[in-house]
Parts: sequence; structure tokens; C-alpha cells
Amino acid sequence: MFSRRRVAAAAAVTAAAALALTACGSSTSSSSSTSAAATSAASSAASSAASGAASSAASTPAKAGGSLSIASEEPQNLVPSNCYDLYCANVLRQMYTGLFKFETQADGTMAPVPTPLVDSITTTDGGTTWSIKIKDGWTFTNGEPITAQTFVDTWNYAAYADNGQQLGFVFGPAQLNVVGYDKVSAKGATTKTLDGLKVVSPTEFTMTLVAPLGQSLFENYVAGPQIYEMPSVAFKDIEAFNKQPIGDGPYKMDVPWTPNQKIDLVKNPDFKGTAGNADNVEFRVYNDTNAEWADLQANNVDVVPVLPTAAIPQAPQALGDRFINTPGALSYSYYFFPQQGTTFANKDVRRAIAMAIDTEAIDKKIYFDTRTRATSFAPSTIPGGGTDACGENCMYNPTKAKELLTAAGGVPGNKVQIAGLQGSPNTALKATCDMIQANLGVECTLKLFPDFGAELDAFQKIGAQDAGFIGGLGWGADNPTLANMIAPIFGTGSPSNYIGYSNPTFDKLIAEGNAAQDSATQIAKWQEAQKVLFDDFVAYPTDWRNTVAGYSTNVSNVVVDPQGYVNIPEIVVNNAG
Amino acid sequence: MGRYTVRRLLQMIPVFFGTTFLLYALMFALPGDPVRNLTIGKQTNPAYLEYIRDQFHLNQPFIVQYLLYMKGILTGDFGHTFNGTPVTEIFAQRWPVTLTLALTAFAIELVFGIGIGIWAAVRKGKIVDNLSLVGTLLVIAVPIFVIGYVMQWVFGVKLQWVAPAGIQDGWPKSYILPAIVLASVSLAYALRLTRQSLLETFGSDYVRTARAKGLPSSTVMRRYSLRNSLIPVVTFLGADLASLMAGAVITEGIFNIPGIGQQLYQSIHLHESVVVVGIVTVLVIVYLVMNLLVDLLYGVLDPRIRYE
Repeated sequence: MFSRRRVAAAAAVTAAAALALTACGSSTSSSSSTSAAATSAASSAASSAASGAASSAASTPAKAGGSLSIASEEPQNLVPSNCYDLYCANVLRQMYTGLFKFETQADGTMAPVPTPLVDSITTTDGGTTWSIKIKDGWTFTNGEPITAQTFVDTWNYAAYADNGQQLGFVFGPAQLNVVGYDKVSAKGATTKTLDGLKVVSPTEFTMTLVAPLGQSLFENYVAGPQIYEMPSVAFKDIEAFNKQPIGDGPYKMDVPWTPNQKIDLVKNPDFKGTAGNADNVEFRVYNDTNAEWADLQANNVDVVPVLPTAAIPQAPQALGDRFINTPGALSYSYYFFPQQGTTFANKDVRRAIAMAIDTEAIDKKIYFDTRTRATSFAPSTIPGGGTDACGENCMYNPTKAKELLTAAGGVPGNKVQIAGLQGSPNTALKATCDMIQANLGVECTLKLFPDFGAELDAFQKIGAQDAGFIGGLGWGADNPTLANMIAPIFGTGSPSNYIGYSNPTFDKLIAEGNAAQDSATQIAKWQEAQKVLFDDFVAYPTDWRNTVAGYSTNVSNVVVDPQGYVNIPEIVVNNAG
Repeated sequence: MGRYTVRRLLQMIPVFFGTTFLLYALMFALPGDPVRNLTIGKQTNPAYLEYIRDQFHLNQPFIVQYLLYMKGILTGDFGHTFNGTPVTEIFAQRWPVTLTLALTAFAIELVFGIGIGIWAAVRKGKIVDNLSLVGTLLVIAVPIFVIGYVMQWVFGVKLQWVAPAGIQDGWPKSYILPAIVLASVSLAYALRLTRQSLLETFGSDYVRTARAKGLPSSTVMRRYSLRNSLIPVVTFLGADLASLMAGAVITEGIFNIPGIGQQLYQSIHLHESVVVVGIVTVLVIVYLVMNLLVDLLYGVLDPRIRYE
């Protein structure tokens, strides 16, 4: 009883926060302010506001030095192979070099580019055996040299089941599928090393895969925290390493992580790549996003990579040029229909419901233009994304919707239900329901669940005689590929395929795309697979999300990329040097 | 009195077991699969889920989980959060923060609640009395999070007297604003209670007799009126220190203070039973100890009260 009440109370706080902030927050300029933060003594405010988010990340650093603070949630942990949230990744990206990192290309799409640590990555047999060569002479900040053995040891550690690393799956069938993964990932496995990893020389190792992968897809898979090299001290005492990881990137950690408060990084003087601008970077942990917003308005924190929903209505006015609202984040929201059950078995009923919802109006009025109506499963920042693959089904058309529903003979009992969350305002869902009711003449109600897990459990239990309900979830991609936007949630038997969707044609096209060596063919195959989803129409994307962030007057040249990562090394601290 | 105290302390043992059992059962009864909730919206790694379920005995029936937890506690292992942090470490980091906040709030409540209460009672019907009545009415009527956000916006964002959130400036600068917010409602009650109960003693026979004896009015106030009128106030304050700690959930959230309240809220969300049970059990024990202290204080304030 006690605990339930607390949850309800806290949820009420969040809802009320929105009201309180809106009520008193119309004028929020704080130009004549001095920062109370430890980060900077006085803010040379006004001039910096002009250099907005648009400024290129590649521009040469104007000024080096200074300190900057980044708002963050508490990261789950700081071991690279166990880091599966935005917050730890934002920290680790500054501390490690890795093999590939994602960068925005001239055409606006994101692609993996090699880091200075990589010498070459090649395949000789069409994508099954890969030879990875790294540069000689790189070391961790504790002096340990980085060799081929370093990578092999790290990846063996990540894949071994009893080490409980969240990102171990990267080496399994979901992504790379290294030979021998099944043996190390089984519960209680005694084999601790992947058969597919072989050290050739101190600077070269090979990886053998079960099935071939295209070059660009392979590069996508060997980018990000899951493959970051770890020094051997990590495996001796992983708990100590988690508190103070040792890396080889532009920044390093001199003092351990203060849980729930902050993570302090300092410039790594021995870094072999391009050095960062700021001398010190503090990741300040917030548990309440509205506190981030209060601190940002008072110039007390420099970058808020994810602005809280409650702040969005006032943010453009309060921050001016320092408000970042860029379309094309690597995530979308989607609705899914039960294929079993009585209400949604007919595809035309599903189409009618989709056409009855005016997503553009919801994006404008409820999300304040921080979302964009989706026309496919991938936004234009992903190669092959941003196309109008959904067509008229994702377009608001109340007349056609009504016709389709009438032709399909309506729905049993003339009512439908959409899943929502208890303790959440469900504003967008209520608006959606009202539209269905108004445009189709069908009674629409919300079916509330305590959390998404309960919603999915109930969804999977829908039987042939049940009415069923419409579910809703979001999906964020690990890498900027069309496959990663669809295959994990619609591939047959994939652990994240919550809705039990299965179509052999889809699986075949994804697999063919993955193996294609030529990028154009690869994307074409994946687009065909996406078309299968739209033809079946058991799920469809409603919105692409935007990157919504803000920064203080103390800093400039701030860019938050579609994955939600901040360009920390390139940020300029205004009053430094 | 010694035997009484020992008896009361011994009574806490069954309360401890009862509380942990009940709380554990309630956490167990929460709907939803905690492990599954960890990975929704991300690629699921079955090997990792299996690992977490194993680590936290989540595949075991309720009674086995509870007994394993109790076994851990009796051997000094209070369990871990899902990301592997020992609960004892969380306690070491977070209790001092909450305690600092609660004690600061308690001091504010004590000084201003009782102080202004006495002032208002002495000046009954005058401007101080009327102002304090209107003021407390306002504080009691407005929900705490409204007070919190308004204070944060006015003093943190607009005037910038203190940082709007966080504890990076240390005590007292970072704690003063949240402590005022946390104390506000209790302060209002303490003020009204002090005033009311003082006014009652002012009209009582023993105070009239003391005055008639020709004692100086300060002595009458200190030794007769105040001492007698403090019993209900002490009862209230004693229970309140414990609820200040529990009630810090909202204030800690608004001002981003990494205390126990924030942890409780997060852990309930994540279904981290061992953390929730640990925190709430400590809160229950604090409450019991405070109650005992209050009962013992009665004896000091009123020598007629004796404990056997």
C-alpha cells in the first residue's frame, strides 16, 4: 500500500510540475545573470547566444580550456560492454576511441567512420572472415598498450554469459553472430572464449562470422560502447573498473564516479587524436528532469541533452537560439494491432483506424512540433530512410477511413481500446481516441496498464475470442541502419519482437540485405522488407522524434546528434582562455 | 525507566520482521516483470535477462526469495540494486543527505514554529498573531510541490540567490531552500499548535496562582505555561522528524537532492524489492525510536508521568 501510494504521489508531482511551470514561466530571460555553478565564475552571456546549434562540429576550435557541465541521468553503469543507455554512452564516448564512430555525412545521413586507432578493416571472402588491423603505439591512460589481444579479451568478456554484460548480444545472432557465440552465451557455459576470434599479430586479429555481412553493416556493428577496448585491469576487478573506467579517449576520469551526483572528466594529455576544447567536463546527475530545466534557465548547467516535456512550450522563447529542436532522432513511436482476436483481424479495419488519426495535429498541439509524422520506419538521417513507404495508410483521411470501416462491416460491439499507462496523463492517447470516435463513430476508450511489461503480457495473451486492444511503444535504434529500425522488433523469434509478428518473406529480405556487399543493394532489400510490413499493416510508425535539447549562455558550438549524443570535445566554453 | 526502554526496544524486533515480510510481499505483488521492464525499447539480450533473474533469485517462489533476503540481512548482506550497487553503499551515500535535509528542516520548524507560536500567543489578536494565522493557512492550503516549484523559480531561477537544484554548493547554501519547503507545512502546524496550547495554559488555574504569588512573568512563562503546553507540541514534532524523512520524496525530487526519497521512488519504479524494503524498514525503525524518545521526553516535561 505504502509503495503504491508513493508512486501515485510522485506521478502527480510530474503532472503538476507541468502546470506549475507553465503557469509562471512565460518570461524567462536570464541575460544579466552570474552563474552559481562551480563551472564558471562569470558568464559573458549575450554574445554567445548568436552562435547557434547550426554551427558545424568540424570547425576549428576557437578557444580551448574552461569547464562545462552536462545534465545527465544516473548511468546504469560505466563498463563499456554493459552500457546500454544514453547516459553512460555519453560519458564513455569521451573516454574511449573504439574502432568506428557515427558521424553525420554531407547528405544528412549518419554513417560509421573509422577512428584514428583503426588501420584497416577488410574481408577477403565476401563478409564472413574479417581482418581487423589497429595502429601501433596506442596505450590506455594507465600505460597498458592496446593490442589485438586487448580487443579479443574484451569481446570474449562481453560475450560470456556469466559476466552478465548487457551488450554481449552484439556478438550473437542479433548482430555480428561470431562463430562460437552459442557456446559462450549459454547459461553456465564453460567455454569462455569465442572460436571466431583469433589474434594474428599484436596489431591484427580476425573475426569469423556464421553468416556473411556487408562491409557497411559490419562497420555499423563495430561502432559504439559495446566494442570499446578495455584494459586487463578491468577483468581483475570489474567493480572497481565500473567506478573509475580506464580508457584511451580525449578525456579521462581522475576521480571515481560519485553515484547519483556527478562524474568528472579531465582532458587526457596523452590522447593521440584531436584533443577536446574544454579542460573539465562534469556530468551532473539529475533524477528530476524539471530540475535540469530550472538549472539551465539559471545558467547553472551548460547542456541539457534531453529537455523535459514540461519545458518544451516555453523553451523556444526562454532559450532563443540556444534551443535545439532537430528532426531525425533515431527513434519512432508505433502502434501495433493484435492479429488474433475479433476486432482487428481485418486489415481494412486497421487501415481505417490509422487513417482516422490526425498525427500532424497531435504533433503540433500536444508535442509542440518536437515530433514529425512518420511515413516510414526510418527518418531521413538513416541511409534509405525518410521515404514515403507507408503511403495513404499513414495519411489522415477521415472520409476514406469511414468508408473502409463501413465496407469492412465495422468492429464488434462498435468499440475499440488503446493501451495507456496508469499514472500518466495520456494526453496524446486521449486525443487519438477522440479522433477515432469522431471520425469513425466507434466508441474508443483507454485500457490502462501499470507499465509496458504488463501491457505486452496482456497483448500476448489476447485469444481468438477476445476483442483485443491497440498497443503503443517506442523504438530507438542502436545504429543508423534501416535494418536496426525494423528487424529487432519484427523479425521472427527476435527477443524484442513483442507482438509475435512473423513473415518469412520479411525475414528473408532482411537476411539478404544484411549479407549484400553493395550498399545500394543492401538498402533496396531492407526497403523491400519494410514494404512487407506496410502491406501486412499489423504495426505502423506514427511519429519520428526530434532531438530536443538546450544549452546555457556559457557555451557555444553545441550539437546533439540524432542518437542523442553531445559533441562534447567540440563545445567551446565562452569565457575560457 | 531503564527496563521500560529495554522492553520498548525489544518490541522492535517483531516489528522489524513483520515490516520486512509485509513490504517484501507487497513488492512481490506489484504487477509487471521487473527484468523485462529493464529492456523494453532496446534489443533484448536473453543471456543477460537470465543472468539478472539468477542473481536476484527472481525465478524462485516468494517465500524462498524472502528467506534468502533475510539470510542475507542476518549475515550483513543487504542485497544489491539491479546495476550491482550494494544497498549498504546506497545507504552510506544517501542517508546522510536526507538526514542533513531533514534535520535542517527540523531546526527551522523548531525555531520558527515554536518561536513565532509563542510570539503569536503572547500578542494574541495583534498583528503578529493575525499575520501568522493567515500565513499558516496559506501554507497548509497550498500543496507542497506548488510551494516547492514556486520557491525554486523565484529564488533559484529569477533572483538566483541560490542554485535552483543540486547539492554541489554544500550545506547550508544548497540545503536551505529545500529545507524551508520541506519544513513549511509542519512548521505551520507546529506554530498553530504551540499558540493554541499556550493560550489554553494562560487561562489555567496554576498559571493564575503563579501570577498571584507575584512571580515575574518570564518565570511564569518558562516554568509554568511553556513547559505544560509543550507536551502536545513534542508529540507532534517527534512523529514529524520521521515523516520529514519519508516526506522528502517530493522535495528531493524538485530540488534534485540525492537522498533516500529519490532512491525510494526510483527503486519502486524498477521493482528493486531489496532496496525498497531496506529503506522503508529503516524509516519504520526511525519512527519507532522517535516515538520512544517522545514518550521518554514526556517524563522530563511532566514529572507526574512515570514509566515502569
